[in-house]
Amino acid sequence: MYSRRLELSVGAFVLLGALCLAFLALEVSGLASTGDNGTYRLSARFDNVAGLTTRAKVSAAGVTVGRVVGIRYDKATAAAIVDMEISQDFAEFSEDTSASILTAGLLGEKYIGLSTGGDPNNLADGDMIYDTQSAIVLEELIGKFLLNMSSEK
Amino acid sequence: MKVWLATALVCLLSIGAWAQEDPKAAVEPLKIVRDTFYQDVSKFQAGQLTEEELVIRISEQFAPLINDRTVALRVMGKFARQATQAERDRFTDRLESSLVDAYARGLAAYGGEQLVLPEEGVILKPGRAVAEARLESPGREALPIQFALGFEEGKGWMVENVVIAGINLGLTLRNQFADLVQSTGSVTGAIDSWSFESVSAK
Repeated sequence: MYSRRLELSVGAFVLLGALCLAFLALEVSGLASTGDNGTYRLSARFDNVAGLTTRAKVSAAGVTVGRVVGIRYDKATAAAIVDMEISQDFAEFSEDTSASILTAGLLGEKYIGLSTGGDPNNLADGDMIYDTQSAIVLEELIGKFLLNMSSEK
Repeated sequence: MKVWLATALVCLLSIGAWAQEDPKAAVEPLKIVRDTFYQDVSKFQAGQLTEEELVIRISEQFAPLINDRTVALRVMGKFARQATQAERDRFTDRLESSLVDAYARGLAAYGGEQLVLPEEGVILKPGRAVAEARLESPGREALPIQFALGFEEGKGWMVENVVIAGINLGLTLRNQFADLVQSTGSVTGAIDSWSFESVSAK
């Protein structure tokens, strides 16, 4: 009887540990739900999305408001279109909202930062954000720096 | 008579709708201002215009090309909704004068750069386009410049934002406005201290 209770306690403890690990993994990876009131979809057009992946977080003022659900190539404009699911809890982004591809820390994962503008109209489900700041590619930066250095000599 | 009026109205509306989707019309105002700029600079170099006259002429050329109101709201960002109409108007004026200041300083630093514009812009949706241009400087790598254009009824295509070598100027100015709000403690304080110097110093 005593042994059975002990085994059950150990089992419950292991299960609790596994649940904690799963919760931690969801929080760290940004896969956790961003709200309970459903989502709406926004897209953004970027010249370069280098390093951004699907399920990357979308944040505004540092708060996670959604996630990236798709990245596709637009042949007509030769640009990348990023589809995002935004929580309905954050449904007040103006039509001139800007989207930037940012990096968490120096070498962290890429995510999208939304910065709302001053337009009185808000973006609605299916709208596109055209005002964007693409990812900064380190190799391109170094190349430009070297070219400018050599032209100044 | 009514039929004629209705026909004329439909024609006007269709011309407006057509202009909003015409990729060539989107870059036309940019080309006109660029060409006028080169003519004015040539006159200045030939001694036919003083520096002051040149700045005034270029400001007059640039002013109708830039959608000040839209740009001001974009730069104020989230603070635009907290601001009063009077504050938004005041910021539009201040932004306009800081842009004139920027033209003057740009002229002083002008070293024969050539703005190469595309034959046509890319229509992203009716009334919204981008023009991928480049600035060629003697002995330097060409600088890619992207003009974000918006169509305003009665005014035509106007510049709403500029991305220089991947740096979104509108977004950069928005961040600088937010910094000013934080350092001055209010939107009014940020508007009062907004100038070319305060922005370029940050």
